[in-house]
Amino acid sequence: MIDFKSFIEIKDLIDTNKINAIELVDDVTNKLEKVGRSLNAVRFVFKEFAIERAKKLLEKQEQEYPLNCIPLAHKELFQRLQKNGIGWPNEGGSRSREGLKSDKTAKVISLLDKAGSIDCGRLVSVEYAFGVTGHNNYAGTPKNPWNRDYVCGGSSSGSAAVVAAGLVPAALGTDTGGSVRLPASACGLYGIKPTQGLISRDGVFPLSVSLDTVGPLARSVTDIAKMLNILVVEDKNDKSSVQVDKQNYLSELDIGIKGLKIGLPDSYFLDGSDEGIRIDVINTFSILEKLGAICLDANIPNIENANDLNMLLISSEAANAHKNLVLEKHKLFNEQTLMRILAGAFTSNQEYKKLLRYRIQFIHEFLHKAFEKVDILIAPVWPCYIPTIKESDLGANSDAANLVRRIGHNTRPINYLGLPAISIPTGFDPNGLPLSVQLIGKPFSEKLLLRVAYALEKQFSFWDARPDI
Amino acid sequence: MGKEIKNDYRIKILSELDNSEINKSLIKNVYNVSQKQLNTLGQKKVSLKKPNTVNEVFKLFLNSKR
Repeated sequence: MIDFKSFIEIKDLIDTNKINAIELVDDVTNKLEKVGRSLNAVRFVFKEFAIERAKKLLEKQEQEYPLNCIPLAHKELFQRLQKNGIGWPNEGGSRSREGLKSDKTAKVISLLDKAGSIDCGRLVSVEYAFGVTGHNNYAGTPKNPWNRDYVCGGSSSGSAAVVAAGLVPAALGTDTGGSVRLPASACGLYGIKPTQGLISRDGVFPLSVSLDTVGPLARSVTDIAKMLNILVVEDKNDKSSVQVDKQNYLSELDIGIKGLKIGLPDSYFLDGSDEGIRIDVINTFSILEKLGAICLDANIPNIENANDLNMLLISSEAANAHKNLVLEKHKLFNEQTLMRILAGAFTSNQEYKKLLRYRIQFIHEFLHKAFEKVDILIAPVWPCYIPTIKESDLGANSDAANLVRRIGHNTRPINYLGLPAISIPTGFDPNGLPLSVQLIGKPFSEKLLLRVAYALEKQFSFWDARPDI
Repeated sequence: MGKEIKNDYRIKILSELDNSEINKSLIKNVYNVSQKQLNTLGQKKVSLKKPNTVNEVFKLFLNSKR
């Protein structure tokens, strides 16, 4: 009924009465149950809640909603407490939290409600959002819709699978070290990690208080922009939230990129990536030049250690937040999650303070040097082709630590820097899995990133590419 | 913004882990990963006294570009 349709296309069908909102919700929830579950991407479907919500929205049709009756579903880290006191499951993708319920509604979920969307359920996350491949032996390991033998990437793996399968037009994910961009990239979607503080994390299951961000995944740049228009609001309940001038992220998408200065970093990103990935980034860089951008080599400071320090900061804060439960219920954890959380338990108070202090200094130095001559940087997302579920299921052995470190090579430093980045599908690898690049911007430059992403979207026509579901 | 980690519990945590039923080779693996990352941090020199938050760094940078 709405398979693979954009927000605008769905809204048009509803506004012209070609689709009834209740039938629409019925269809979407059925497909989440059938197709979504066959992909191991769905955790909970709330059909009754969604139908009731559709009925209420139909009663208020005199009001203009930006997402009128559009069905969505989100990563299972986003809490919802219904008005009747029923809390949706709040398990963080972990057996250790089995049966726990939401005690509030996440700010971003409230904003999407207010915009008229219909929340249909929750999608699989990697346990505690702490993993890059998407494996989860409790909630299920989502299968990539482009080829079910391959991973979706993590940790917003269910969100990526369901949007890529065309079941809903967009979904929320969280990104602490790449968890929106890696799955968006693996599944051929756009995924944005916003500037730290731009989107509220209130009511979202925490991994790292300093690094967690919330971002949407969608099949088009316009739908990402539409989501940002709704989600960017200052929130006093999130201490990292910042006030920014109100922007319309949809405006100026199509004004082109002539004269924009785009830099290809002269070290780190391409060095750590496979040949096929490097070629794709360089090809995309050439396309940007043909579109009128001024393409330059960008001299960036040494960020070799940003990946490790980001991992240390995540582990330290995850251990601080969850250590007691980890020790008490360690048998209920996946060994890889256990290993990664416990690795942060050895960080002393003094080391933690230094970690935060050094991060600020590092960001200060990086910004002034890397963006001295350019507006935007281009880099790979994955450093390698997407692996199969089988070959990347390494549990907690030492190879797993190396794989985790390697997959986050291009994404974690951006979280460490707190900067915005968007992943953009560019084509397919020799295995038929999507390829992507990421654009990295100055703080709060999401609008500019979307403009460049839009220009590339027109070039690659990825919208027409659909997996065989 | 960042909630402070209250205890320096490196020794305590090792003892807690030893007393738990967690696989001992996993604990060794975890400890080695942690030490490697903490050594990386240990080599860093922090000289910048201000600003105090990531958002302040952003504001300073953006103002300098105006």
